[in-house]
Amino acid sequence: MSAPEPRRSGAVGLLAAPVAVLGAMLVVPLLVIVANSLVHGAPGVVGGWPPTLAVYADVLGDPRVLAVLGRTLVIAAIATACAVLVAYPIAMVIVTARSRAVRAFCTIAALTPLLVSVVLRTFGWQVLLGAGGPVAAVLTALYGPRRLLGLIGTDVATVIGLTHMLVPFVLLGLLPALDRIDPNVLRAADTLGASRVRIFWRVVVPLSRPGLVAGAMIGFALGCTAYVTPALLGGQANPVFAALVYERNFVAFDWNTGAALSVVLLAVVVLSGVVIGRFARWPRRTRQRRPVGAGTG
Amino acid sequence: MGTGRTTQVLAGVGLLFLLLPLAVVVLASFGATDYVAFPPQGWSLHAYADALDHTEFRDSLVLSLQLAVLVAVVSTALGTLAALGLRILRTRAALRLEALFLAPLAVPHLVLGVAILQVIGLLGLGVSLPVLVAGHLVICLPYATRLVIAALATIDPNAERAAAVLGASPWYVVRHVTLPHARPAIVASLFITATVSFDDVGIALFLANADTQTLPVRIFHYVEYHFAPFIAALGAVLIVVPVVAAVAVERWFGLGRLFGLTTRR
Repeated sequence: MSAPEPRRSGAVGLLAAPVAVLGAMLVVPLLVIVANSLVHGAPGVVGGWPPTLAVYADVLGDPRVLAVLGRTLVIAAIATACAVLVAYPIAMVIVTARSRAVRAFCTIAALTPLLVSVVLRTFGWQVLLGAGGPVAAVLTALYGPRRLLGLIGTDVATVIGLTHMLVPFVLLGLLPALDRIDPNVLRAADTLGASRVRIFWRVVVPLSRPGLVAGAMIGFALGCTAYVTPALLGGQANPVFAALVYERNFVAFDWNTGAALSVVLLAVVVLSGVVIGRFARWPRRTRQRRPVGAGTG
Repeated sequence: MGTGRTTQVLAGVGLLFLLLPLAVVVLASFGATDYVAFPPQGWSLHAYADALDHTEFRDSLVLSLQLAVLVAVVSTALGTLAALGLRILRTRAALRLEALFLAPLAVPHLVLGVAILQVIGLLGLGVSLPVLVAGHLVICLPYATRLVIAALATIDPNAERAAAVLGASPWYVVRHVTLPHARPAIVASLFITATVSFDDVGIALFLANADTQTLPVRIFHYVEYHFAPFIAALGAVLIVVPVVAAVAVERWFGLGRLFGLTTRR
């Protein structure tokens, strides 16, 4: 049957260029930072032998680094949770809207932030939360001139900015999952007398869980690697982990430590994905173990 | 079953939250004060005139536009090649390769930026436009590849077989049967990759020197320490143009497919 189809060698030719680009600009650079992180040399020195884990010992033994890592994870977790809370109602309205115009408007409005550079979105929050903005005016009226800068320089501002950045990504996870739910299932639950709250928790959330998990994974990964938003809203006095990575590489030119911090960040992102994936599966497993017929009523 | 009133109110508040900082930038750009104020006090276009006077920002805009066009064309071409190649292979190896093409999405831009910077340093090269293009190709390839793969998946293989049986060469089949199906996806890919490249800071931040500061990077370094109305004016243009373009592309070609929403269109 494959007689008329182009031959394999053709496919190899087609794939050569894109694979070469990914190899040169993705695989090789990642291998290089792993190699650089295994060298314990002076700042600015690249390469060395034999490999050593000394840099990792330095990095992970530094209480300041661990404190910043902890704060970064907490901020990313709170921002992801807030983004899920903001995204769910929007996704529900988009998926169930009867009017095509409402659906189109909500989709475009919700995804518009993705079209705008994160620098400008964050600038908007600087205006809103910072000096000369409405939030600073209210806070100055309440607490006096020490709040002239509004919320800029606080973790609250960072969480607000990150939440705003993450909502569209969580939505991209949720929308296809909610879209696949058969409306008849919701109608059935409604007919059988379940309240809207109960339908949401017992039908909508479980059925959209894969999308929720995907959205939360992406959101958390982006949240703990964000640099621009925390730098502009949280200020220099409150660095997140990404700021350490930037400072080591770009200000101190300590490439070995910079590489090790990058590898740690990558590991944190991968691990968080595994943990979120595991965590999301567990309630379903326990329910399956229940004997048939138990728990009815 | 529709949604309840509470859900609709919450969704409205959520959309307001999403659009608020963008609207604030646009409104603040028309303020009359020589500092950024919200709500704006008085109306004026002086911020726009001021923006035109900042030539270093104009240079950065030109650089960012060149970068976006180059990256969009090259990444879409490479993504199309990859999608065609993967379609012919159809083996387990092809699935693994497909995962490789989506892999850049899983690598934080910050880490990729550091990694590329260190390779450049290792090779003793300076930062230049080609390096920026190469860096952006990696983050744009997943979008291009995914869009074209999705479009090619909807083609009935029998159409291609029929053309081949009727004597068309493999190249002729690709050119006149396969690729026309992918045209909307190719246009969508050009738009998305140009946007991703133009908006990127994560990678461009690390590949920037005095000559290679893209516009988002220059704005970032400026607003780190200063606050000026002309930034709002620049911002307003950079918000309105892509939104209008997105609505146009969506009208003609449909961006929805990228977001997995084809079913109810």
